[in-house]
Amino acid sequence: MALPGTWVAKEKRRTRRLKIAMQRVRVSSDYLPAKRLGDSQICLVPKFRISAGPGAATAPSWEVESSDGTLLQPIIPGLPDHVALNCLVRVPVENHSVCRAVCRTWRSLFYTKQRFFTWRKILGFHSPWLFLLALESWSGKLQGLLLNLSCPSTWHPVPPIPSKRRLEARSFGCAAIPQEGTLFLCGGMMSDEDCPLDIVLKFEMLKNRWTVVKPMPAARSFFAARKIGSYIYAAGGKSSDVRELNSAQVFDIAKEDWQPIVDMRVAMPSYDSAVLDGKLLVTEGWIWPFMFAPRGQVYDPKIDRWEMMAEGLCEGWTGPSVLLYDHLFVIPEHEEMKLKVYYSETDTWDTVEGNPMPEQISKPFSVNACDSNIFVVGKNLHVALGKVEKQPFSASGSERKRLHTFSVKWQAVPAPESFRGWTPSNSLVHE
Amino acid sequence: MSESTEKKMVRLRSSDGEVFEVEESVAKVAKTLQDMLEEDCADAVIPITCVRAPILTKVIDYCKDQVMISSSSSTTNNPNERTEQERKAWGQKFMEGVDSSTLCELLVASNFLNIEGLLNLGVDKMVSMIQGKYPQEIRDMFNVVNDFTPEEEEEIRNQNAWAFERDPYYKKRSSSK
Repeated sequence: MALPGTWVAKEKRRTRRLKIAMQRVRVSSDYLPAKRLGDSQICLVPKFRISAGPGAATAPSWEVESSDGTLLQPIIPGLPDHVALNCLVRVPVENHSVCRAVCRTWRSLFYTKQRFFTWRKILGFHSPWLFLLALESWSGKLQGLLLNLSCPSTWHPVPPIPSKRRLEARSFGCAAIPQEGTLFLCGGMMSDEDCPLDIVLKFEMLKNRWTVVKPMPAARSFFAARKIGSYIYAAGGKSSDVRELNSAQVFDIAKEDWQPIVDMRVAMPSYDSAVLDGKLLVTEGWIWPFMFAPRGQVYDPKIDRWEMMAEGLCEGWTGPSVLLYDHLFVIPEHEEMKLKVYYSETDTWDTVEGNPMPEQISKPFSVNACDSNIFVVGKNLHVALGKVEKQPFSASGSERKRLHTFSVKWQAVPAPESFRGWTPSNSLVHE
Repeated sequence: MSESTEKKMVRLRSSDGEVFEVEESVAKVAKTLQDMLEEDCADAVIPITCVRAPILTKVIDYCKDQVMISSSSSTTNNPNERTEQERKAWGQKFMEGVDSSTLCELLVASNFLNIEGLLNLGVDKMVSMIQGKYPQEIRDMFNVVNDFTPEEEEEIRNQNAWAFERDPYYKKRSSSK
């Protein structure tokens, strides 16, 4: 792959070529050979202006040689390569295996997902996927599934998790690096015995494979695991003897190594966690019969310190959370699953206006977000897609001061019948 | 944008020598022509050297339609204004019956003339033509030569399909061209 510097140079050269060519057009047509179908290259290359975002402007040119130095035929005879490339990067993944088998030029684009998605990125396309870990209905085994968020239709399975152990839903920690399409699955509890694990598995979406990485220094289950910057923090949870833990560790993603951080203030399992303003928020969640308010703790990685969580935040955290517009949103497990949002200025929660959650969605569910969309995966793997909008706050009728309010519009994306009985556990977004 | 009440005409010459006379507003849908006209190319015939007459006809049809939509879009309650759905349907209809070689020429023309909307329509059409096809059908459609060695072909057959992919060789399917 060419360096950005050379792209700029190429682009400049191309622009200059274009200018010269345009002058020729004005003077006489004779300079420009008429191109027929079958001609490999057309020398006039005005910038490809498909509405695809900022990347499109600096598209590098497509290599015309294969790795062994032989000249490749054009992507599509009669079309400039950059136009053809802009077509092919839009071909849905279902058709890639077919496209790969067309010819050597096509193979070089479709051979690895890495290359394909790199080209998509270069040309300014955004291709988010939702990764879901779900329990298979018939075997109770944990399985990774992917949903293409650009045109969600069905779940696609990824290779099986390289572990014979059966994990209990939500007992493990999950953290993703969305830009790279990588995720880590850490620890967890075996479903058939009371035994927490220290395993760490990495899934790389572009390579479509799982690898085993360095285990956690301590086995834990039902703990908080979140990515902040280039680190994953793992805190609290339950230990081997089913006692609650106050220890916490940090995983350096680049070095794939664990180091301890300062202990939590109190030992605590995690029901849910989130990252807000660069801090790790952990809550133990409400526990039946809801006699006592849950505990919550906040870790600031800059000063390596734990604090107790603000009361309002902790008490209102009644379901899985998701971060959107730098605000924490929660889908309450009770309260008819009406989306609510936390305002840190007042330490209060407000219900978000909008239509009710599609009725297909039932507990247990898993929540994630991408751009301004929330994705709720419920039982049977039906998905609710919520478009969240931010409006400036109108002051009338309320004394509470805040900058803006939110509204949501839900839409159902039903899953195929074949996923009946499946139970979602954790979901993550890949960009 | 209206400089005079009299409609200014522009003449375009296709690669095979046919001359088309169109209103300036229609020609200006093509950014390339717009730039040229703004730099004042007077009354010369503009040669569109890489576009044949039948393709240029189609391109002009597209531009005329764009002018028709935009000219009345400033007024409220515009009867010509289209919803997202209608636009999609119109685009599909416009591209209906376009075969692969015409499509390639249309893409070249809209790329050369810099007509974003038409380029997008062409790209969408191309993707829809590729979808659900088999390797040989794609090769036939776009005149792509199968340059694999038998060993390479074998290797591709044996490569594990990614999570989502259809099997390129073994599944039977009724062809819909």
